[in-house]
Amino acid sequence: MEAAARVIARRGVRGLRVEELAAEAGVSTALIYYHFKDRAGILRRTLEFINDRAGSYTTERAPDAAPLDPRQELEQALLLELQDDDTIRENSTAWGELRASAIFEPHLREDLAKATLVWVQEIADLLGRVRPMATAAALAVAAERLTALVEGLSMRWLSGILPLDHARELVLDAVEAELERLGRR
Amino acid sequence: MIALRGVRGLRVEDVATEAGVSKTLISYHFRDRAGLVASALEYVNARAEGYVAGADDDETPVRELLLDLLSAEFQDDTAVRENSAVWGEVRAAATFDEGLRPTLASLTERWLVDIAELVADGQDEGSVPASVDSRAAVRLTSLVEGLSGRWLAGLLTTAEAWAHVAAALERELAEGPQG
Repeated sequence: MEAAARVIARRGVRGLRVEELAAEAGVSTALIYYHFKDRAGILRRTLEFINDRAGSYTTERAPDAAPLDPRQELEQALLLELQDDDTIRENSTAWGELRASAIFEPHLREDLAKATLVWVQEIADLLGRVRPMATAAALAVAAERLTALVEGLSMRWLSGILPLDHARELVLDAVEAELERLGRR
Repeated sequence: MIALRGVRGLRVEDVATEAGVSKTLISYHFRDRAGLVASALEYVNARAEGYVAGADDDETPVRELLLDLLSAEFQDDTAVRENSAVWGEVRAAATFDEGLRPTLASLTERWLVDIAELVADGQDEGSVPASVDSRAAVRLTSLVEGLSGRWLAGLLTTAEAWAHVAAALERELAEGPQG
């Protein structure tokens, strides 16, 4: 799976060839087909993999670190997608690619929708801990906007037209604005 | 063709067939593949500006013009969908193809300038608070791009995309905490 994420991050979904994937993973193409059945299977499992990996770096913390307050936890969860780290860059690139190619690969949409929903829900929960009085609907909408913003900013960062620190500041400003808005009602 | 196959599926042969001209003519006009993609992007961008230009008169409130400009990417219309798909493709492909970045950067900049000009107009007439700065435009356009990816993938309806943009715009144009 790591090999698949690497190849997609390097060449894009449409540049993904089973031969190259097999070479990268050091196995035969027959084994790849045996495991994933077809190209769609590879894409689906890669989406799952990068999603799980994103889950692990978004929650990974030193065991002796001081506990974060809900606001900090929310900011961390959104900012961890925007970090100068090879794995995160690779993950975000592969995620952006899979999302962009869902237009051309309809069978990817359902899995993509599920993965997006999980992320939105996670952010909505964190928002709810900062603003316990806000309604579930208001939290969900705010979470959808914040995650869409992170995706938009991530794409600009990865395509080299927005500096990373600038992207991170913009996320923090947006968190501030959404929380202010949720606190008003 | 880009909306149909993606930037990396773009072949000069296919474009020539689609346009009903020779491959040589296409190559003569656009020099290379990057030139072709850049021209296609310029074209869809000019076409997109056409949708918004219809509402461009002195009577329309600045806030409404801003909303139109930002939401132009989300419309249940084949041509608009195609435009957004081309944009999304070029954005995604620019991650892998550095040759596309200058075009992407300059078109993004132009979009930001359009918004900044409207914001400045609104500040002149007093409908937009003086505290709104250039970061608002970057945030709003990045949000539109993020929403666009979801909208094109069918994860978000046109109405939901509009509602998000309207709410974000209202938030960005609100008076700051200090007033």
